[in-house]
Parts: sequence; C-alpha cells; structure tokens
Amino acid sequence: LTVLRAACSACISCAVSFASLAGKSVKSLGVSTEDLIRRFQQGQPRAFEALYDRFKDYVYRTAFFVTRNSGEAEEAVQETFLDVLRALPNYRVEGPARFETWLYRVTVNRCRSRMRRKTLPSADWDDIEERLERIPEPHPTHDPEEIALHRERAVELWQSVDALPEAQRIVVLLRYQQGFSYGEIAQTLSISEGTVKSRLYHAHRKLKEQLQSENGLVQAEVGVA
Amino acid sequence: MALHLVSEMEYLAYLDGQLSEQDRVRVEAHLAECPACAAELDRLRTLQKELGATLDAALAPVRLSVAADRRIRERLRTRAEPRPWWRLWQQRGLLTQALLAVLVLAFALNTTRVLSLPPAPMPQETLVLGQDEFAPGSQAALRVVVRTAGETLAETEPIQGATVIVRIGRTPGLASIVYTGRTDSSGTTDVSFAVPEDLEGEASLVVETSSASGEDQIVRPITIARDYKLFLSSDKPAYRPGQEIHLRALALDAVDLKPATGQEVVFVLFGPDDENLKYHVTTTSDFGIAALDFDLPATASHGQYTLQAALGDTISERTVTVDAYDLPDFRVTIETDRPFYAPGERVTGLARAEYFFGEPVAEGEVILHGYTEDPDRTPAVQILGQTDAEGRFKFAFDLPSSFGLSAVQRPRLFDLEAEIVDTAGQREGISHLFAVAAQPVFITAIPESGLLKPGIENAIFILTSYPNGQPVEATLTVTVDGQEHTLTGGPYGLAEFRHTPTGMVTDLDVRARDSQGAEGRAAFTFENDRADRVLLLRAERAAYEVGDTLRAEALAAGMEGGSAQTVYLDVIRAQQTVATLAAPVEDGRAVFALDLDETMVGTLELHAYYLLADGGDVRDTRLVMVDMPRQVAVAVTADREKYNPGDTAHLQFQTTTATTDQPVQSALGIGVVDESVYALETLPPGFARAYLLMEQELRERHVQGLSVPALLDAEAETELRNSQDAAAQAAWAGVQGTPFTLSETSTVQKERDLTAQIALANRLGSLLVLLPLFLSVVVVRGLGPTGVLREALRRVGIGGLVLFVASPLVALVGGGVIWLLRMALGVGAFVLVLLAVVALLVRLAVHGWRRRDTRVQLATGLLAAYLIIGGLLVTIAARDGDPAGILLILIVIAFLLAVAMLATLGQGLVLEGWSRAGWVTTALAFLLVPLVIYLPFVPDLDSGLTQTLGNPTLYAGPVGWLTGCGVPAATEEPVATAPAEEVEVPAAPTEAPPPAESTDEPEVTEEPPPPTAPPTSIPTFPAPATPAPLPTATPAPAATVTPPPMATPMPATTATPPPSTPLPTSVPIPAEPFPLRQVFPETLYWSAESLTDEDGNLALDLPLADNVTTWRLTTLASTREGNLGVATYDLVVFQGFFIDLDLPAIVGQGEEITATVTLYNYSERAQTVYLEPAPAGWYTLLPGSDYALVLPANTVTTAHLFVRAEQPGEFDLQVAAVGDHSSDAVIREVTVETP
Repeated sequence: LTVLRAACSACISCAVSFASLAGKSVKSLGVSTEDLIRRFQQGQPRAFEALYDRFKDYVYRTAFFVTRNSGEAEEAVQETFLDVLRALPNYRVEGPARFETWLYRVTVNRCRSRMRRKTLPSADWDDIEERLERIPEPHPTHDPEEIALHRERAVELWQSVDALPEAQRIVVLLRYQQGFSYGEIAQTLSISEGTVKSRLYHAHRKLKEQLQSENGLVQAEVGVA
Repeated sequence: MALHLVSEMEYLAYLDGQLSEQDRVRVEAHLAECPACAAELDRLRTLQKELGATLDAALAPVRLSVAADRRIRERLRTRAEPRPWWRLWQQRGLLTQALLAVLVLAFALNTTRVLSLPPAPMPQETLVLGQDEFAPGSQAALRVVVRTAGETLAETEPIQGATVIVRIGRTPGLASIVYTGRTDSSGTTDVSFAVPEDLEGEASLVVETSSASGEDQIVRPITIARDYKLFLSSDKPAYRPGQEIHLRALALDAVDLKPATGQEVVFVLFGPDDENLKYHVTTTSDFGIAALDFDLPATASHGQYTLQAALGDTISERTVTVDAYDLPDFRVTIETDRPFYAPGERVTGLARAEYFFGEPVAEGEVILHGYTEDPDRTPAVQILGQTDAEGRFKFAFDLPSSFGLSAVQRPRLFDLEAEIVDTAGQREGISHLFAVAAQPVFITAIPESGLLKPGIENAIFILTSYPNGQPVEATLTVTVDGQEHTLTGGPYGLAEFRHTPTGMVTDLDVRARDSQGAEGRAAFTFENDRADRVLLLRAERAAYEVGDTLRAEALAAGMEGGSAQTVYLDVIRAQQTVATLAAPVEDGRAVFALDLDETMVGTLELHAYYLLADGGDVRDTRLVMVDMPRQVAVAVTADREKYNPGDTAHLQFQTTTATTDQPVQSALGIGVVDESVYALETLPPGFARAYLLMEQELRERHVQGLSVPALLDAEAETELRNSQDAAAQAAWAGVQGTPFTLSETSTVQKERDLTAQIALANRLGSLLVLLPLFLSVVVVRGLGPTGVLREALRRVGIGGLVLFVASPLVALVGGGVIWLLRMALGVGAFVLVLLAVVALLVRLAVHGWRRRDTRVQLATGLLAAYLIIGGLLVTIAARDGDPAGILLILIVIAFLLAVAMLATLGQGLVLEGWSRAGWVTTALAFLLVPLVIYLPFVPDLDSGLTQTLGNPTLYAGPVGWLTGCGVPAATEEPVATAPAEEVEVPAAPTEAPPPAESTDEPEVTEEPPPPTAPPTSIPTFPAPATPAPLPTATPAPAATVTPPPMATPMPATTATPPPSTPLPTSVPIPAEPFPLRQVFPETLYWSAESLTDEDGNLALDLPLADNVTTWRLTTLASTREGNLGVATYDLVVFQGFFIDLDLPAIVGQGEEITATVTLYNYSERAQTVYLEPAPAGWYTLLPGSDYALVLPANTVTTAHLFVRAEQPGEFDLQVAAVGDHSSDAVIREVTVETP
C-alpha cells in the first residue's frame, strides 16, 4: 500500500505537471529565441508576441534598407510576421539554421516581391543623409574641421552604399550592419558563400572607386581654388 | 620583393574572420613581408570600420513607427488568437482525467452486464447428402439435416423449423434459389427442386441453413450435364470385306428416357488393330435416331472390328467380325432326352439338320463325337449314322462312369459334337454341351444384403437347380444353430429363409429333395457383418411399374438414441437423387412408402441410412427397377407365307401401345438379313428396352436361368413374375450402389477449411508480431538523433502510469462511451472508430510526405500494413481460424507495444515541434484500443482473437484488475439476438403443424411445378431421310416405303427392269422360260428410321433378292416418348427346283477350276436336268464335266463343271439348269488374275 500510495502520488504529480504545462505564461526576458518558438509551438500565443517585439525593428530596418520606402517597409514587416506566424508551428527549432537567418530570408523575399512595383524612395530615406550630416562626434576633443570631414565622409560613404546594386547592398547590410557570417548571408539569400564573397569584393571595389573619385574631385576643387 | 600571392578578396575574408586557419596563417605571413599589402589591408580595415559605423549611424535610429507597430500587432493578434477550442485544449489534462473517470464507470456497468449473460446455445450442424451430378431441367432432391452438434448421437438433437435455402448457379455469388423450406421434427426436409434448364457445365450448389443455434453455409461444386443412353445396333454380326455395314444408334435422355433429339452422335469404326477407319458425326432425328452406312473396302483386313457411337460422354460399342466366311448351307441341332445326366448314365438324343429355306437334310451322313473335359480332346464317344427323310438321326450312348463323379459344387460339362454331310457333300456341324453331375440338385444361398446383419431378421434366398441350371421345385431342410427348418421352394426353385444371426459367422446346412426323389445338399458359412451398428433395407419387390407404391422397411440394430432416431431413405436414379424420405425408428423398424411416377422409370437405388454424431452414416442399399407399361407393340404382316426369288413382299407394320392398344406413331428401324447370318447372334426380346432401362451391372446378373431383362415381360404369369421378382432380389443382393458423391457436414467442412485458415492465420499472426517490432526500431532510431526520445518515452510512461492508476475510472468512462456508442450506432460505432483511425492515418501520411519525414513515412506504412494484416487475421479468425495460443499472446503483447510506440512517436514529434502530427499520432495510438475493443461486437468478426484483443482486462491496468473491471465482456451478441428471434422462428409452423408421419412433406416449401406430362399430340414431322419413299404401282392405304436394292448393282448386260416393278432383283431372260438369279445379298434391307403414320401404319414393298433362304426381319420401334418395341418376322423364299453355283472368287489365268453346281429338287417328280454354262470368251469348258443329270424327287445332288480361265479380268459365269418341268439359272462373279 505504501508503495502504491507513493507511486500514485508521484504519478498524479507528474500528470498534473504534464497537464498544467499549457497554463504557464510566457516571459520573454531571459528566454532564448528558440524557447520562445517552442512555447509558441506548444500553444502559447504570447510567445509569438515576444518574438515580434524582439525582431520587429530589425526586420523593419532591413526592409527599409532594401525598399528605401518606409511605407513599403512597414507592409513588408507585416507580411513577414504573418508569414512567420503561419509557418512557425512547423518550424524545427532543432534545425541547423538560426531563426534569424530564416526571419531575414522571409523579410528579403517579402521586400523583393514588393519591389516589383516601382516605388520612389520615401522622404525619410532622404532624411538619413541629413541625419549623417548631424552625426554627433564620438570624440568631442577633435577640431571642427576634422568633425566636418568625418561627417562628410560618412555621407559620402552612405551615398556610395546607396549607389551600389541591390544585391551588393543587401550583402553589405547583412555583413556590416547585422553582423551575419558569410554562411548565414548565403542561407538568407539562398546563394553560395562564393557569391557572397564575390559580391562583397565588388561592393568594396565600387565603394573605394566611388570614394576615390569623390576625393579626387574634392582635391581638384581645392587645387583649382 | 615578395610576390603578391594574396588576393583582395582574401584580405576581405581575413578582415571578416572568414578565412580558414591555414589561409589566415598564409595571409599574415605575406603581410609581414609585404608593407604594401599591409598598407592596403589597413585601408580596407578602415573602410569596413567606417562602413559599419555609417550604417549603424544611418539605420540605428530607424524603427518601426508606433502606428505601424500597433497596426501590425493588432493584425498578428487576430491571427494568433486561439480558437475557442484552444482553451479546452489547454485544459486537456483535466478533460482527459474526467473522460477516464466516465470510461471506468461505463466499463464497470458493462462488466455487470456481461456477467449476467446466459450461456451460448449449442452450435448448429448441417449435413448435406446427395449426388454432385445433375441433369438440367430434371427434378432432383437433396438430403439436408439440421441438428445440434454433439460428440455422440444421443447428444445431437434435430432442429425443427430451421430455414433451409438451396441455391444453384454458375458461381456461389450468382446462384439463384431453387428451394426454400423449413426442417420438420426430424431436422430434415424434403429438398426437392427442379435443376435449372439453362445451366450446364460446372456449377455451384449452395445450401444455407439458419436456426436459433446458428447458421451454416455449405458450398459444393456440382456438375450439371445431360446424360444419355445409347443403343447401337448393326444389321449383322459378321461381314465380308467389300460389304456395307449399317449402323443405327438410338439415343435417349438418361433421365426421362425421351429421345435425345438434335444431338451430335459420333460414329467411329476401329479396325482389328484399333486403327480409326471411319469418323463421322451425324445428328439425331426427332426420334433420337442417328444412322451411318459404311462400305468396308474389298481389301479390309480380317478380324474383330469395333463400332462405336458416342454422344457426349456416353459411348456405346459393338463388335463385329470381318472375315471371308462361308454362310452355312444348313442348320444342325442336337437334342438330348435330358438336360443333365449322372456319371455313366445313358444318353439318348436326336441330331437334326435343316436347310435355311426350311427343307430337311435327308440322307445326310452323321458323325458324332463326344468329349469329356479332357484337355487332349480324345473322343470318349464316336457314333456314325445317316439322317432319315426328315433330316433326323437318333443316337444313344453311355457316359463314362468316372466323368462327373466328383462334381459337387459345379457340374461337369460333356461336349457332344455333330457333323452332318448332305447328299451334295456340303458339311455343317454343331457342338452341344450338357451337364454331368453326381448330385442332381444344386443349392445356392444368398443373403439379401450380401452380408448377414446380426441382431435383425435377414432374408436368405435359397435357390435350387438341376446341374444344367434349370430351377427345381424342392422341399428344403435348413439347419442353422442346431435347429431344423423345413421350407418349400416354388416351381422356380426359389425359397426365402428368414434368420436372425448372432455371433461372427452363420453356418447353414441345406438339403433339397424334388418330387422325383432327387436330392442335393450344401453347407454355407456366412461371415456376419462385424459392424456394431447395422441397418438392413428390404424392398417389397424388385420390379415395379409406374403407378405402383414402393414399400420398403429398414431394420436397424445398435442404433444410439433409441426412438429419437430417424432413418433416411434416398432414392437415386441415373446418378441423381430424385426423392428423399425419412421415417422414425419404431421397434427397430422404419417403414417407407413411395409412389412411383414417370420420373422414376429405370433402375432405382434405395439408400437407407441413419446418421452418426460425426456425420458418418450406417447404410444399406437395394436396387429396384421401375418400368412403365408403355411399350410399343409392333405387328408385322406379310401378304404371303412363302415367296419366290425376285418376288416383292408386301409388308404391313402397325405400332400400337401395348397396354391400351392405341395406334402410336413410331420410328422403325428395320433390318432384313439372311437368317444364316443373323442367326449367329440372337438377342432376347425386350433386350433393347432392358439395355436402356437397366444399368449394365444389373443386366449381367442372372439367377436360376431367369434373366433380369425377362422381368420386363409384363405378360408373364403371376407365379412366374413373382419368381422373377424373387430372382431379381437375389441377383441384386449385395449391390453396393452409388455412393454419395455430395456429402458434406458443416462441421467437417469447417474443420477442413480450418486447417488452411489456421495456417494462414499463423503466418499473418507472425507478421502482426513483427510489425510492431519494426515500428519500435523506427521510433527509437527516428527520435534518437533529435534527443527527444527520452522525453517522449517519459511522457508515454507517465501517461500509461496515469491510465493504469486511474484504470477504474478509465474503464468506467471508456467502456461506457464504447458501450453507449455501440448501443446508439451498433456496428456503426466500430465503423466510426475505424474511419477515424483511417483519417488520422491519412493525415499522418500527408505530413510524412510533405515534410519528407522518413520516420513518419515508415511508421505510417507499417501501421497501414498492421491494420490491413490485422483486418485479414480478424476476418480469418472470425471463421474459426484462430492463430495458435502462444501466437495469440504474442499478438496481444505486440499490439500493446504498437500502441506504446505510436504514442512515443507522437510525443516525440510534439517535442520536435511537429505539434499537429505528433498529436495525430498519439490519438491514432489511443484509438487503436477502442477499435479492437469493438471488434468482438461486430457479429461477423467475433472470434477468439478479437475476444482476447478486445478484452478490457488488457487495458484496465492493475487497479482495474483489482476492482474487477477487467471481466471479459465480449459475448454480448447472443443476448441481443438469440432469445428474441427464437420465439419467432417456430411461430410460423404452429399455424399449420406438420403431421407426425409425413416427415417427407415440407412445411414451408416453394415447390417447383412437377415436370409436365409428355405431350399427347404428336407434332407433324418431316419424312424420313432414308430410305426415300418411292411411289408404288398400287396406292397403299398407309405410308408405303419401297426400299432401294441392298445388293450389288446388276450387270449392264442384263435387261432393264419393267418400270412398274421398282428395282427387281430377278431378271427374266427372254430366251429362257425361267428367271436368272444373280443377286445374293446377306442384308436384304436396312432402314435406320422409317416412320409409321399417325395411325401407326407403315406399308413396305420389299423386292426379294435371289436367295433361296429365310429372311429374318427385325424391327425396333421407338416413339417420341421413348417407348420401345421390337418384333421379328421370317420371310421364307423358296422354289421347288433351284441350283447353287460354287466356284472360287479369284482364279489365275490358265488355271483349271471346278465349279460345283448343287441341285435341289424338291418337286414331287423326278426330272432330267441339263446344265448349260453360258458361253463366254474368258474360259474354256474342259472335258469331263457333267451336263445331264437325272434328279429323283426330293433330292439334293451336285454336278461339276471343269473350266480353264483364259483371260484376265472380272467376269460372270452363268449356268442354267434346264429340267423337264422346272429350271433355274444363276450367275456368279469371278476374277481372273494374271499369274
């Protein structure tokens, strides 16, 4: 009877804990992305909300960078998360790819599909340049000329990036803004790592050429002056 | 200067940390050596740093606007909002427990119900006995007995009111109902039905019986085929090469003995070496007659030829001799004063010689030789003498005193041979056998059943005869078991002795004494039937006629169950059961009476038997013959008593029914053959009818000289007929009869099927054990790599433990739901669960296919296979093909393993993130349990396997076992159906209860109408094909047939016959005052089918050939109803003076031959005769020939003509004998060959 009672109590406690799994609330803080996904898959809808909060700005930035239009980017964000919501129940947490990789891939694909319709860059895209011209100096001790040069170079660099072809621009964003490895970039864009390297190389060459030509032009203007 | 072996792309990768270790070392080594590259790398690094800072500065402030964020969030919330059931799902644990509680409660209630069930009734058993061959359109019967199965006969009980349905069809599925009825108090019914007319070939017989004790279905292959009787006849028994064989086949349907019309009959003629000489197919006429004429080639080899006629599988054969024989010139007979003699006794007798045209052989030389059975053939007697004017010779001699002295059991035969040479030197002989025995009376005893059956009164037929087989009326003294009994045999030597034997053998001592004091004695030892149980069937008579009532009694001994038992009597005719009777045994005796109708004409086998518990039987068989008094009488009349050669005989045939003397139209087969040929073989009158009515075995049995065909002689005196009847009973005693070719017991059939089923079930069961093992491997190997196996097993283990702990609740709720569903939906509940299982399986298969998940694909496939094989096994098990016991346990364990493994897979999928598929799999696992629990509730699937699998004990768990929830609950079915329906089944018979005696009258049957009576009006039919009726000079009152000549065509040199005489065979020679005789056929006339008119009349003008002989006319009449009649008539052709010319048929050129001329002068006056050979170029008459003879009155003499053949070729030799007042001339053919 003692054994039976012990077994019963253990079983009942196990059963109760098993049955009450569904009742726990999702605490996003301190919870890994994978855990959030698992919780959502186990029936906790708020886990998805946490995922949204965690990645919404990243997704928006990427979309904005790709589309250059805030309205388009917002639509792309919505569609991206709807896609994720639909597909997440079948997402394999233990799979080889990071969630972020899959998320940006969905984002880029959504943006590309939206970009089939030609839209002009929105005003806030242009605001970026102005923002770079007011970029605060990290080292306030520098002299104003140097600060001006630094801001000017940032703007030039942004303009050079903006001038890059879309394929190279996205690679540059994922590498130098999102910090993706070559492999993750390849997975996100469904291209090979060699292509990633090639696109980065060509992007650098173009950026260098662009910057050199602008510097030459400046120096020539200075010389003329 | 260092070479720039590093590309800018590699510097980028180096800066991004994406180079391999080896490349990184190489790049750093180069940078250390190459300042230019190091500077370039610094520039790149600066650019990247600036690029990152710029992008961060540009994009970091970029955020989703609050408005957009709110909008998107709202949108996502609506999408992500769980459905109403989602909340329930979140409470699944609680719900599950509640459900378990309800299930436990329901199970507990169910258990109480099951415990209160009454025991199942005894199972039903069906026996079917009969024949497996049927004739289409005929009336057939089957013996069907429905009873409860039991180990001993006393334990079996006939089931009254059981429904019996008999169906016949090409396949069991297509079989249509031919009989429906209910069993009577003896558990049987008179299953009488009409075999479908349009069904021939292989078919299926389905017997279905149902009662409150169960249902049986017996399916047996049967053959439905028409069977025929063929009677093949030829015009003669012997032929010479070059002659024509006339064949005639009469085909009757074996069942109704009606003519088989429009059937193809194949005639085949086999030579002496069995070579096929002729193959011909012809179609039977409206009277069932087919005919074929076949010319034997002149070069045909001598020997025995076999004539064969075949109709379907029925073959009739006849053997004839082909030889260059000489026809006898006269007939020799021997008569002795007694038919048998004692050793040394004096024999007196008479040898007689007579020409075939009726005149005696006077003054013939007689040589008599007598032989004993000495193999050296040394004559024991030799007598010489001469016939008197009447052709007779009286002789007397003493038999050897030692011959026949030791003959006790079998008389010895003395062979007396007579040879007579007439005055013309012609020689003929005969052999005459007579019996010699020391004991004048021989005794034979035959038990009526072949064997003496102990314990019951047997009849023993005692037959007394003289050594020659002639019956003797004697007083008999029979000593048995030390007691003497005195009997008196009838005038036909038949006595019936009744005796009840005991022990192993019966010794019988019989002494017989006739009125003259002749005595005989014999001792017999009969081995008694050793069987414990015996049955003796005794028919009142052996021969019956339609309209009679066949009465028979069956005496039974050693029968179990006493008065409760029934003796069955099946009547079989032509291999087909035609009637079934049953009678209760009272005082060891069962009495039967059967009215004989037209459908029972022929040989009937009476099978009496009673059934044993194991389906076997104890039986006895008797044969009786049923004739129909409907023979045809054929009357033949001729216009004259004697004819001259060449005359035309005007014959009149009339056919009438023998009983009513009403004219009847018939087809006559007419043959007119020289008696000297035909007399070589004689068939008794009525032979054809006996041939067609009786089986061969019976035809060949003779007793006391009374041939069985003679039984058909309806005109015999009563005493003779009674003796014939007794003789037939004795002759047919011990005939085994036809066994039941269709004998099936439902339990035996089940046992037979069971062996194969169990073998198959064991194989399937092995697969059912293996499949869960495979599934386990798939689950373990599939979940292992993702690391969820342990957790999945833990969940299943906990779940299982919960179920076990809460088993009373689970059993109550689960069993209750199952019970409620079953009550509400019946079998539909099972179907519902099965559909759910299939749906989930399909869902899982879709998942596996879409996700390329090999584990799920494998598991789905294995589960599908498991379900299919399980379904097959359950189906087989429901037909009692339960797998072996140990296998049953393994199957159950494997089933539980399959459930556990499926649940583990499901939870593993859930843990991996495949939530939906995971729960589908888990649900599938749990649904398997109610599925198997429902199995025994489906009536057609109830078996040991399903009872075991569906036993709630398996799923109740330890607590359930302790609380009594695991009581088997499968045998609910009888409660729902048996008692309620049992009340209704006997309800129908109570309205019209069957009389106790009329066990052979079905209570409820759909009897097909009896076969219609034969049509009374005869339809018009075409004129016979052969011979074609030719117009005659004088119009005949009835149908007149003038036959074509049967003999050799006349030579071209002879005169054309006058047109008024149709094809005469004798041609008047204008220069001569007497006709020239030249045509000497052996068969004068043959007609396979000549029809009488509706008044039964036929006129035949028959031109006679030139033979001086007696023509034997035989005719076989058959009607459209299959009635037969025969008649013979002798046509005597004679003239007072005639000659016969005998010369070799073939001679060599230049050969000198002797032509013998035999002169017969039966005129009252002597006359001088001149022989005048007609001159011809092919021969030269040699000197020494006789040209003139003086013939006294009534003499026969010979003359010789010596000729030399001069020219090769085929010629005629014509010789005329010109007398004072009468003359004759003949022509013979001769062939002269070049030497």
